Amino acid sequence: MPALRIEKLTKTYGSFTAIESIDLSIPDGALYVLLGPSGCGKSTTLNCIAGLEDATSGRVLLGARDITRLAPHQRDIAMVFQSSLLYPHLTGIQNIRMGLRGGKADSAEIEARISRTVDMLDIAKLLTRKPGMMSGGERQRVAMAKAIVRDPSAFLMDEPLAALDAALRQSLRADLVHLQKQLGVTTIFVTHDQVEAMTMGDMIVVMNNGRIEQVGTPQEIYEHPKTRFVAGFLGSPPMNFIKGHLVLIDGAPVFRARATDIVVPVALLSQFPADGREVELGIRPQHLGLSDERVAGSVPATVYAVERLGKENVVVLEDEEKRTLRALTDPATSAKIGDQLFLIANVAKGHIFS
Amino acid sequence: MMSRRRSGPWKLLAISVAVCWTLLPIYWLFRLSLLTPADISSFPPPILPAHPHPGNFLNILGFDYTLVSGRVLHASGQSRQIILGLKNSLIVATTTMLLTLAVVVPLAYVFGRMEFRFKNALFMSVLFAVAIPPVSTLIPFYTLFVALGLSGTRTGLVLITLTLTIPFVTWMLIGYFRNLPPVEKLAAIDGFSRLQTLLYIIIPMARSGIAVAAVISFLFSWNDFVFATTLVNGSDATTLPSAASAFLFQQPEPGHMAASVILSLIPAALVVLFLQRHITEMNLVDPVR
Repeated sequence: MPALRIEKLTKTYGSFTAIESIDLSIPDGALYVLLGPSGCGKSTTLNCIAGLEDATSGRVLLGARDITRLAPHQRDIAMVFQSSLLYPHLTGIQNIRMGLRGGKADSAEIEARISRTVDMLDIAKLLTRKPGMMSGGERQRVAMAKAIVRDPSAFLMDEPLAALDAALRQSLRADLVHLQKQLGVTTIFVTHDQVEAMTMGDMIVVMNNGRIEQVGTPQEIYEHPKTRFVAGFLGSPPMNFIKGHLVLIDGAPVFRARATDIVVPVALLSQFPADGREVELGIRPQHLGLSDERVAGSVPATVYAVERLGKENVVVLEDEEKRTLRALTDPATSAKIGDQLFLIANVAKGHIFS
Repeated sequence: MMSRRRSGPWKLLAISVAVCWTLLPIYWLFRLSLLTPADISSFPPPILPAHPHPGNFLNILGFDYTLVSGRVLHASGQSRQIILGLKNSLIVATTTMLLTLAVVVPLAYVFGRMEFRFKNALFMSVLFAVAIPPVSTLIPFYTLFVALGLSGTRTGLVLITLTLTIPFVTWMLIGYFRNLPPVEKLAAIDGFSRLQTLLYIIIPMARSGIAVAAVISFLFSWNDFVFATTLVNGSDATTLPSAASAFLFQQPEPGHMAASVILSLIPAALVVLFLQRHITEMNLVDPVR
């Protein structure tokens, strides 16, 4: 039985639909990441699970319990908020204890739980400090402790790392995943940061416009994006999209973009008959090669900028219609701004979207 | 660093001007309150009192005082009004402060942190009350209060002062509440109801802002002169500024007048001193550091 199940969850504000009929099933102990741009409904989904907002329709089940209409503190969940929000006027230990108000556990057990958590997160010296006197990482640990001592059936995390600097975020990502696996508590983590999602999630739920676009492991999402949105949202630098038509030439399916014909492997076309329809070919930057000479199936483009990342270069190009394309090359490339080059797509690694 | 060094003397000058601006008149009054009648009339006026004495203060509180020279300074005829005024001012200002806080804290919280219908229109009406000159409502209030039997009462004075303090302090606190971190979500998860969140979380968190609101409403009422002269002057509900102003219309006693003004400064100064930590702590952009 899944630890957490969402059935046809819908939330509307007046005429605006924030999330529409979402279904999601999360197995016990898994870390699911809700990923999407701001306004996609991921935080609304989380708030409906937490009870901070009332679902317009649909159900939320935690284990066998329908918690859809319960007050937040009755739901047996704990939540960590953006920037690891704590009560600023209370010390670390007072903040942690606030999470235990009205709990069922007896005081001896609570004390044991608190001291275990304090040891596990190594926050003994933070207990007497107020959040204003803690660093971002320390606040994060206290906020986690506050969530853990509740001993909940599920953790909900709403962009807890968003306001931290990059280096700290990187180390806290690993800490969080380690802790979550250690505790084995079902966790939903909301973020708009694809790197966070890729590195932390057992499964990623990509959301857009109040709907789920795709659910899958980080690998699946990256290698087999089901929609144009998922393909464009994940990956850095982002996937290139080339507009064109699918036509049949001599019985072979061909992707025709302006003056260039690119022969497409049949495997890519399972869903698309080559009947002249307009499609987009998606190619990740690492699957675009650069050539000085025109060859069959190459796309002419002008170098717009070269970004050096050390282990590789990102060559930013403009095609004849002034659309931006990016190619990853080895750092030795000599491409300069203004160079006329030809792009060769490794079509076998491409994706076709209607 | 260069600019910092160069701005040194200018900064010092600016601070000196500001300090003199506020403290010189107070010094002048304080000096006046300690002078003997002979020193007051001498020319040029002495910068420091040659024979400082507490006679003026004792006089306005109803006691005679004998100078070293043997001259007796008699108790002021206004002393009964001054003592009444001191008592009334304390009662009126404290009541105004407490009522203002009771109304303003929930009001500013709701305006600062919740969304509801007609919020803007309602907020504008609060601001409008700040914008109209207080004197413009004085005559209507006076007629109303006479009809209701509230003229010459402390209740009437508190009521009319609230029409100033409530909108002004609400306006001031809204921004402060708005900038508090979004702890309501945290409180909801921890099982606080909305009212409990306000009482047990928001108010302790906002104590600096609320302390400043308390000081401002106390001082508004304590310093009020216009309402007091119109509504309670000469009655048993007279306040200290109104009672002190009577010295303007009597046989000139500059020492008595100065002493009564210094007396009126003391409680206000004590309130500010007591809440000073909160006032300097209150930062409108980041309320909780």
